[in-house]
Amino acid sequence: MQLVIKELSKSYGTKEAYNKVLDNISFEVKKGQICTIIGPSGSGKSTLLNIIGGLDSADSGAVIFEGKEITKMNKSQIALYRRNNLGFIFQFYNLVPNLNAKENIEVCQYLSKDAIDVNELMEILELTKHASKYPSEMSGGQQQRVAIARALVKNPKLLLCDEPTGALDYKNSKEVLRLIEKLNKKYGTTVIIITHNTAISEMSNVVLKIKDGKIDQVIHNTNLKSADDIEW
Amino acid sequence: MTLNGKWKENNMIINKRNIRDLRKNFIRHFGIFIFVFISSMVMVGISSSIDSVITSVSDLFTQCNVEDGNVETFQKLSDKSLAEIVAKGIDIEDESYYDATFDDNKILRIFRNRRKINLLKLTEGREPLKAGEIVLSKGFAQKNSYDVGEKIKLGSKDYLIVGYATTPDYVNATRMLSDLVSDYNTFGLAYMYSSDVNDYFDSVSVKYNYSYILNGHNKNDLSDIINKDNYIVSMVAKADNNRITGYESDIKMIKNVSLVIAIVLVMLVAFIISNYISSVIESECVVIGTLFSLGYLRHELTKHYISLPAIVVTGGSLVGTLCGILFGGVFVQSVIQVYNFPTIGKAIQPYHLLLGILFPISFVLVINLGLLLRRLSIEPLKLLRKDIKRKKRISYLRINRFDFLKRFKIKEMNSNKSNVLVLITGVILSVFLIMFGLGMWSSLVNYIANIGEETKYNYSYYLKSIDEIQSFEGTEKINNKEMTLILDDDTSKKILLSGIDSDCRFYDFSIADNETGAFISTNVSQKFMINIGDEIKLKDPDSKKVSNIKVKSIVENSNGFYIFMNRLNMNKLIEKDTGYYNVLLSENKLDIDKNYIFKEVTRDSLTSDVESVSNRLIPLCMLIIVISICICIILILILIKIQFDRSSFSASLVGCFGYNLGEISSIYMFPIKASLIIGLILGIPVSYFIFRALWPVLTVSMDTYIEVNYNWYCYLIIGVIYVICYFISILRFRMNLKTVDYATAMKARE
Repeated sequence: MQLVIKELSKSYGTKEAYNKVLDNISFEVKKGQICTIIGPSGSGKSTLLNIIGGLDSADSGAVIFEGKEITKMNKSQIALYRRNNLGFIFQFYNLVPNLNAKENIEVCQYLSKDAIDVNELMEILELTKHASKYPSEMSGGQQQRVAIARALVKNPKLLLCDEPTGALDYKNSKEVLRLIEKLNKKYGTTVIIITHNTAISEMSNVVLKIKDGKIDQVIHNTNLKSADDIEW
Repeated sequence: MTLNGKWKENNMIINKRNIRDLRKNFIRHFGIFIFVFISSMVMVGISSSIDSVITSVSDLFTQCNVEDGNVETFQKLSDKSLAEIVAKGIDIEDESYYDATFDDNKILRIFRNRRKINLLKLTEGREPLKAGEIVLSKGFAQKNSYDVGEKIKLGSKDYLIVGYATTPDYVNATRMLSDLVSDYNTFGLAYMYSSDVNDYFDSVSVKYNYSYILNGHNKNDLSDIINKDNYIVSMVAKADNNRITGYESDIKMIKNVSLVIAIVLVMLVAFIISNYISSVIESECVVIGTLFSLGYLRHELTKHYISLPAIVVTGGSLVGTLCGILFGGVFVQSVIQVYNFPTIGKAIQPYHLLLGILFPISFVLVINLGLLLRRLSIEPLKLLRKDIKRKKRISYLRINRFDFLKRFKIKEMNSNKSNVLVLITGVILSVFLIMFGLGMWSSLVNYIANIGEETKYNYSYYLKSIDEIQSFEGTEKINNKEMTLILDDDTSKKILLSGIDSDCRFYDFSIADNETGAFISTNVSQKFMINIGDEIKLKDPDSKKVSNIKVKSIVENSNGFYIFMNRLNMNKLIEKDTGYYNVLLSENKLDIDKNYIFKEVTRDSLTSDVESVSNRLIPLCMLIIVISICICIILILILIKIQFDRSSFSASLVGCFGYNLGEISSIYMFPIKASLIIGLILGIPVSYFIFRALWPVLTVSMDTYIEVNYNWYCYLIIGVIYVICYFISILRFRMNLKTVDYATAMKARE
């Protein structure tokens, strides 16, 4: 297993304000799988993703990535874990405003010893003709494609996507999912997607349904659909 | 490509933002550049110019064998005395002179060319090699248009001017030793071939003056030999000779002032940059959080965010230092040109480069690296959520009294407390700078005015002898004697002890005949921190007797360092006859034989002398004022721009609600207006007290105490500057608001 989550718990606040966000969560993801985590707002999806990404800490339990326990690492070890293994895609792209599309991708190129060629990636993501555009000159879909390219350029082992289609319309969402799928197949990148969109589960190997901080259901999808075939 | 090469190449990608940020915020970065440029230029320019002067004069002293002192004798020293002095091991040179008057009012002091002591240093041409040749002091020659190669007529004889020169004993080329300033229009120095000098030196008006180098011997050894068959009129050691050491006081003061100004400027730069970095991190926290999430490390982003300020500061300091080295002389030109200096060479010392380049860069970087490392240690998740401010209890300001708009303004200001504090601090720093320039200028102007007002007599006659002096109606007799004031730290200072009669009309105070204590002038009190009730130690330089005298009063007197006593009691103290005096003060010109007068000083000449000294510093003050006003305006505009950027989203949102331009600017300029007012209210008194505290340190080398004095219009000037800044800011704010596309503003997320 590439990623093992063991009895992970996390809570905020005390007394009346006490809120258990994650309650004894455990699951596993194999290398090259797409894992979708779905659930209503406030169910703990983003907290779970942030803990896996080393952006947040757990109260108890363990996150083990390729045999190393992330939850026991110190700050600088976690920074290196992110640098060497992870790619992040956010709902709101978070591009550097005064760098153009190509430069926004190149920003992360040097973080990896095994970086993907930027031009090749831009070709795949159909960004070549937008290379010199600044974020303010691109549509939401184009910006998200740049954000995907930025996350993938360093050839991460694990791609964490936090509502990657949350700010996009149907057409652009479809396009983004198609690209994630394509990149997953081409580079064998493990992908974890947080989403409200249940349709995305149809293209995932593993689907976790979370409710009130607990895993409500784990589905191992044997009937995978391609991104082109899913509808919502 | 190697990994290292790849790293370098890609690292440059994020730094490409720097070029774009530089272009986008050009005025802000240019302002910072100008600040650093000015501070480095002022620091290096003034310090290196002054050090160049000190080095050049010091070289002059060494190369031309500056005297240890000089002695004026009643008659020519006999060959026997001269031989005895030389045998003793003391070097002595006859530097007797004759003041030749020509063209009605011009005086040329004629010396023979020197051989051992106070040798000529030519600034142009050559030395006189034969009869009929003359070398002049440059200032006098240039003021009166005597060029090298031309002839000058003295008496009935023409002399060929073969060069310009200075000598160590006349670096400050004053006619009288007690004169404060030289006057190149009417007084100059001439060095002749020996045989020509004899034409003049047969005259009765020759002053027999001898310069000496003691070679480790005591001054008394020399005076003992001279006194055997001659009479010493005066004996002046090098340290007490204003002509040799007087130049140091002005230039050291200017150097001190320039360092203070430059340090404040560098502090301002560090302050502006830290404010700028804070605002950038605030506005880019999501991007920073994203970069951290993607694997960027803290030191990489620190390097990125510090790189642009570092480049701007480095550029400013390098260009400023270079300009300071090349053109720094301009700052001190008004001071330098009054002295009879040799050609001033450039003396660049390593500390100038440290001061101009390393100090601003390291000061700014250390402060801002600390800030950046702190700000960038925030958790990536917090940055992504824009949760970067310290958790505070939300204060609900309950205001019921005002209308909605006023309540909104107050609440807007309350929610921007930290920004308001930053702006107030900036205003206080800029007020300090401007108060500094105005304070120097205003204090000098008032000092000149006070001298004129305090001097109630029109003529003062310094007498050689009082035996033959008849009594004049309406005059006051004064006894002035130079004494040494011994201070608590065992240092000493020459002061003038002045004995006045109990009914003296020319002073605003009276010292009773039975009063044995001293009345000290405000100058003495403030410069040496002496107060009423203190006991002062005065040493008589002739008898070496030290007397302890109690200070009974502090009296207004701006002209030099005066300590007053009752004349009768002073005469007892210095062991003179009770009726002794050596100065006559009068409202009208007196008919006294010139042979009995050592010096005649008119009220006008006294004030014009003081004016000349002060006027040398006024161009520098004006320069500081102009620089500080420019800097103040740039600073305020930069800070206001940063504040505006921070509130632009909120202002745009209010615009979307339907508020008009006037209402929006009134709401969002309110914190800025309040910050300016609070900054001024705090800054003016704070700056006043800091300047008052610094002033004595800065003027420690000056031979007077200039009281800190701000005229009312100084405050008006400061007020006007800030009102102008405010209105320029309103204009810019409105122009910026006009360019905001409300639809884009609505799309922006908080």
